[in-house]
Amino acid sequence: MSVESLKAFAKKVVEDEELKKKAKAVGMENADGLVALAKENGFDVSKQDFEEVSKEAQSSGELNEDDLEQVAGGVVAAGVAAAAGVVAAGAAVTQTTTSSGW
Amino acid sequence: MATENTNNYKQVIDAFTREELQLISQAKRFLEYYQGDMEFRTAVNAGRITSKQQRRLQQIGIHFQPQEMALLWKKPELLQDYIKQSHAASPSDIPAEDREQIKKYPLLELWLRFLLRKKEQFKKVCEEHRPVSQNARFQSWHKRRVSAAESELGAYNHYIDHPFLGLELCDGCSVQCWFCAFSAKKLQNVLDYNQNRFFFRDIVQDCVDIFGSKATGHALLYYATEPFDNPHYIDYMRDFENITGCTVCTSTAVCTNKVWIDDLLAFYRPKNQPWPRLSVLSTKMLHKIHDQHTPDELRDCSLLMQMKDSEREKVSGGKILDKKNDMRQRDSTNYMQEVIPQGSIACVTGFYVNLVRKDIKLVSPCYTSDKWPYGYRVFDEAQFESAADFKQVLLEMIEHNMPEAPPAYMPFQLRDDLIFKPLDNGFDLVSPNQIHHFQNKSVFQALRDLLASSTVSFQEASDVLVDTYGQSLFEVHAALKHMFDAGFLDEVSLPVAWHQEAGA
Repeated sequence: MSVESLKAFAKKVVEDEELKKKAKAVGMENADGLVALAKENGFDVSKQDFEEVSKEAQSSGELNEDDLEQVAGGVVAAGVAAAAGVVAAGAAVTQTTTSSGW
Repeated sequence: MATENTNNYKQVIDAFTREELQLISQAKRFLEYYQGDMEFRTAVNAGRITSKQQRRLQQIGIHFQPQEMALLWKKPELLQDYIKQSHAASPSDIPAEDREQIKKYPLLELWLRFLLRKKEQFKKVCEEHRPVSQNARFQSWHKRRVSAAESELGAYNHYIDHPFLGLELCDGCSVQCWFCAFSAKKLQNVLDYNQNRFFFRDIVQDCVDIFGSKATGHALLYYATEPFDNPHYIDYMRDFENITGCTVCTSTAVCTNKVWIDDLLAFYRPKNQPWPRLSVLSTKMLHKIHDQHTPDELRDCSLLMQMKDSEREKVSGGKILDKKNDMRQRDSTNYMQEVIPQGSIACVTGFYVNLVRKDIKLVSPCYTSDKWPYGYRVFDEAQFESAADFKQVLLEMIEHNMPEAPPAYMPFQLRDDLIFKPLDNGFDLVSPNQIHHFQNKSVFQALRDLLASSTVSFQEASDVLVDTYGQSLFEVHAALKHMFDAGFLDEVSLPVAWHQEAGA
């Protein structure tokens, strides 16, 4: 079982119209059905391989948590304001209605 | 139903002794005076507090010497760094020198400890204790909207806890704050308690039936309204608590009505909840609040300085947007210039209901712009006549707007705040506060060409990428599903598409 096997199965699905129809009929949300279809066609794949492909198809963000905090925190610079709890402009502008979930 | 308090805030105050809490309430009041009074702020920043100001401090219950807080004006940058580092790193990573300096000011150190504990606990509440709706469609829609807000608002989203419901008990607002990001119209009418108590209770019960008690409890009984305007606001809060088991928060700008504030404090204090929050509209108002209530009485209440000379930034929405140019003029040639820090005053991610006008909006917080001037995106709107009708309308809105999986007919188009940037190896999506990379995979390159060339439905997008571009069916499905689940796709046009599909 490997992502490589899944990739080979995916290639075959692209090339083989009948198999493509079968895969679509099984449905992309039906991982068990797709694993069975792959096995029927001689490809040893697992649900984990599908999960791996899903992870690889995700975007990445440029600004990490710290960067984001910096962007939001860069407006109010005074130390007293910081000590008063208004260190981040984001907090300052949103606290009015946002911290309702205590 | 018995009242069930999560008491997350209690976990903050329980970490301090009674004596410490008394000192904390005085430090808090000192900082409120600093924030809300420009003359005092100037004096503190210069390290020259006048004897008149010293007397005022005594008068409003501050019995420590201002020198105990002197680091505030002696080394403001040290405090700024300390707080920033405390958020980013573990306490042990904070330079020993900084910690030693702050230790010389025990009162300030106590205050910072309280502040950081409060922030940490609130973050935890947002991350771990957000209630889950029993309605699976609503729950996955809510999750997508929270992801979209994270993408669109960046760090500003960290302060939004996305309540599921906003139930207004008035039509309009009597206060008319100069900065109102919702541009609330003048007060027209209120939901009379004697006539509507059971209507209100039935509405809340409808919500419990659909979402579950805890999810319904994640709500507000005001939004673009002032709680004080409804003379039975606290009775409604009690009824809500009785049905859901949850205590809702209150923000009010009617802060100098002592009876009103005392009533709210009497409601919240025994429950150890950090409310009401007070919107302080002027320095005069601040002084009156400090004259009317002791530091201890207001220990758990946030005072939000909303005066024009306050250091708190205002969202450029609603009434302010009318007077200013749109901040949204982003330079599409420079990525970082496109990242314009700005949050939203809105918080409800779900149903915003006015019980007087009997209207419902499906909303979620977004970047404030000409298109969405109140900082929330409206996905759908409806009217209802009765509590029974309300339940039906709500269920229909869920049906039309909240598919469990992306429907085949859904227009495959991007959220309206995103700028699409084609690149050699894929593409980027740039929001006002974040950049998302879709690079170095052939499926992203095919998706780039599709997004650049045509408007198609979700199913057509999948077919074209597989059949025309020869991409792997599984990768295409995963990439498109990710775009849907992460909230990158426009869902505002979904109900229109649903009706077209249903009529076809």
